[in-house]
Amino acid sequence: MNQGARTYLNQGEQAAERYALGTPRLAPAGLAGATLSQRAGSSLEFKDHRAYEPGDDLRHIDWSAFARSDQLTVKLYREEVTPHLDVVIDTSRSMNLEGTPKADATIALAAFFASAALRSGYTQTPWLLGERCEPLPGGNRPPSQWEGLSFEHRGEIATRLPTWRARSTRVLISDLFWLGEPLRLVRPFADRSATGIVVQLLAREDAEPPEGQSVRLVDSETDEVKELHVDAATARRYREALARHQQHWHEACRQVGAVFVTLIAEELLTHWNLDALVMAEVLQVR
Amino acid sequence: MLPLFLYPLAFVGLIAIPALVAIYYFRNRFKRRSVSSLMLWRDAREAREGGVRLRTLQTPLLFLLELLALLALIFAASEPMVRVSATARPVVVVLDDSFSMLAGGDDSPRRRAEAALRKEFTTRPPFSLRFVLAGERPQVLGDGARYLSDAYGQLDGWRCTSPTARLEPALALAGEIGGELALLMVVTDRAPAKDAIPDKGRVRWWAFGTARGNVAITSAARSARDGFDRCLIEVANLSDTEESRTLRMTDLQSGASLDLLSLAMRPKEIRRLTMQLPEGTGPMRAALDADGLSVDDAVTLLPNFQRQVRVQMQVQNDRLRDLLQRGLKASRAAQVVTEQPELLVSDAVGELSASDQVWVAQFSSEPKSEPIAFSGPFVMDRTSPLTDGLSLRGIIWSTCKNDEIDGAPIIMAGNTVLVSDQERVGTSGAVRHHLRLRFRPDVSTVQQTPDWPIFLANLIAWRSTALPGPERVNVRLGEQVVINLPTYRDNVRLVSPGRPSRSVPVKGRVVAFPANESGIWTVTSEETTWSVSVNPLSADESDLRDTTSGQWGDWLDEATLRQEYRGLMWLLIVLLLGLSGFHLFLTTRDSAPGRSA
Repeated sequence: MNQGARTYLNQGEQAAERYALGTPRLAPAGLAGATLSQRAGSSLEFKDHRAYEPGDDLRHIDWSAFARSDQLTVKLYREEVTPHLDVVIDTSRSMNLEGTPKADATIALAAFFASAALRSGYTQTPWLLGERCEPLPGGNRPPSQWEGLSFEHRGEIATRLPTWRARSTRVLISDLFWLGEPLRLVRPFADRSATGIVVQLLAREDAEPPEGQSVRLVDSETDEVKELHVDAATARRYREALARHQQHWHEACRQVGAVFVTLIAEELLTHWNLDALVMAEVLQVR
Repeated sequence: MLPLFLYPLAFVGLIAIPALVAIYYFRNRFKRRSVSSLMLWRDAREAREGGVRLRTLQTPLLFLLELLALLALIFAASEPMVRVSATARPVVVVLDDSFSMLAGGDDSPRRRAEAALRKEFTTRPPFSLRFVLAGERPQVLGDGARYLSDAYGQLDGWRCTSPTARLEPALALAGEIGGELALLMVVTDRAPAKDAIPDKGRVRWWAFGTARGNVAITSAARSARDGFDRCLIEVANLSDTEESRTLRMTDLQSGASLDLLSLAMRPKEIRRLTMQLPEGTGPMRAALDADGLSVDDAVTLLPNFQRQVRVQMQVQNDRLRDLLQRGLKASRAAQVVTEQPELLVSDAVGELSASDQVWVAQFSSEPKSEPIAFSGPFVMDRTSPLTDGLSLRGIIWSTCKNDEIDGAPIIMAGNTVLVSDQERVGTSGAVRHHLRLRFRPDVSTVQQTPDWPIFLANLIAWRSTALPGPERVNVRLGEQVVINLPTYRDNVRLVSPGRPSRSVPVKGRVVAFPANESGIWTVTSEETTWSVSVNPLSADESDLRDTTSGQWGDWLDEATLRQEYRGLMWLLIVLLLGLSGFHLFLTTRDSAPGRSA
């Protein structure tokens, strides 16, 4: 990995110092961990009482309290979880768009999530999404030590995803620029996850095409060429198409309970403004 | 049909077009730009309607609109006019009828001109078409033709037989018969005078000539004087190179060859050849080798004859008789006879009786009466043939003091009539002249001056012109042929070359007609047949070195513009407004696409 990319890995790590990854809304499965969940769990540390809700474990009903008040009350214990983050990085060539910091932002954002996860007691695994979805070699090391992260994939994105750890937090970083039903990817992506986060990372040019120019557009993946004059109407149609595309992904994410967020690479690297993720309770400000 | 632009300078504005193209080129040239994916650039409509058409049109519609608007503005500023009607004005064509139009045979200016006229008027048929022949005198060729086929039929009368083409009078006549609105065209083989034809106006001048050299017979005459029959042939080399020709002279009556001359002529050389013909030679023909213009390569000369006026002298005064005899002899055209005179000269006193055919010259020269002498000034009627060439300067003219003479005065000294003329109509209707002269030779000096033989020669010549027969038997093409008949007739038969015999009217005893065709003309009355040979002798027409081809002038005067052209400026302005409105609509709309692709 070249020095420039490593710079952005470090930049992502530094940005993660101000954030912590939010606790998963669903308790992760597997071995008991060291992280306390927001949910009523099964650890021995008593936390609180609350009214019984259907579905609560009957073993946690405080029968003493029932005897005193005729109210079903359950004891809440702080849950210990062992959270895990899967960061899925789209390695398509479009993520390394010429003349934009899109690849840098992708690297930095992946490092950000991984670093924030590590700081929050998560384990993490970076995945490279291309023709197949494979773990980044050496990805268990700190992000600043990652190697082999490149954006050279052309063609279809794999929709057959590996079997990830149940109740893990999953982050997909991609520009999502491919045709097809979003659910084909989002459904397996969010299946049995604690939190699914789809981050659409765009360059500013992806979101705001230049107007008043005649351009020879070259598809970064297929090298297909299209010449046209971009006037206000053409740009408007482009923006409308992008909005429709984003809406499709948003709907798909909503159906599977995932979070859909769009970030602009230039703004990300400049301001690291992650309010959208904070508001979606994906991140917590330290 | 191409439009006409009143202000072509407005096309300078076309330089704005490259500027506009440059603006759009630099503004809209394609810049390479990588994009993450083309999927969002694909227009749904494009896919439905077929992308090929949309992709091929890469130039913005706005550019096309602005380009069209610019062109409309420039064209509107140039004020284009288009010819909307080809039949608004009559056309009168002046046709050069001179024989130089026949030079070149099948490729003659006349043939090329006719072909050009047919092409021109078939393409742009006029309201009506008339032709005026420009020869010695302008002549209208047929009536106005409303249909082109009729007009083309009239061109058969364009035979190019005149010795000259007086185009200016013909053009004036064309303008007169065509009226103010008529468009005029001159068809000839020579260029107009410099600046004579304006570039735009009602006159077009088309020339179809081809400059070439020519050897021609430019003059020919045959005389019979003093008993000898002579002919003069003038051959001119009207070219800038040396030319050799053979001149053959043939007696047409016997077919015998009279002479054969080889002529090697220097450039521009004129050679005059005289030849004494054998006695009894009939009509003779002199011919050169044929060249590009054959009409001037041959002449036919008829035997000339000298008409002698039969004069009877009844003069008692010896001195006067002697003077008259000497003067008549000097004229060589009088024959003194004692009977059947044509002119009676007398000094008898009182009224003389004579037949209708006899003219009388009556002298009053009584030597016993008191003389009176005049030294001038003398007043002469210059319209009378008798005074032709008379001066009467330094002479003394004496007469009897108390003499009075009748008739119209011809020569007067103060208020004293010296010579008078009285026309008399005879019983047969013939007009004869009775001249009275007051003259005393014993105390006059007129007879010692040249005025005396001149006066008598005029008298004989005048009488001679009234004698039967043609004035001249060999005339140049275009000249007037005059033939006196021996008797009074209403008409005679006239046969001209290439035409059937026709009847022509007689005025008095005189038949006169223009010799507008070369060849032998014959006039036949009951008694006699007279022949006249007409030869095309014109050095100017034979000289083809300054003939040329070209077109001068164009039919574009104010009336042409007003009647045959309609302005397109309003249409262009409407187009301009439409384009501007559409441009405004495209640039300000919100929903509609700004371009077609």
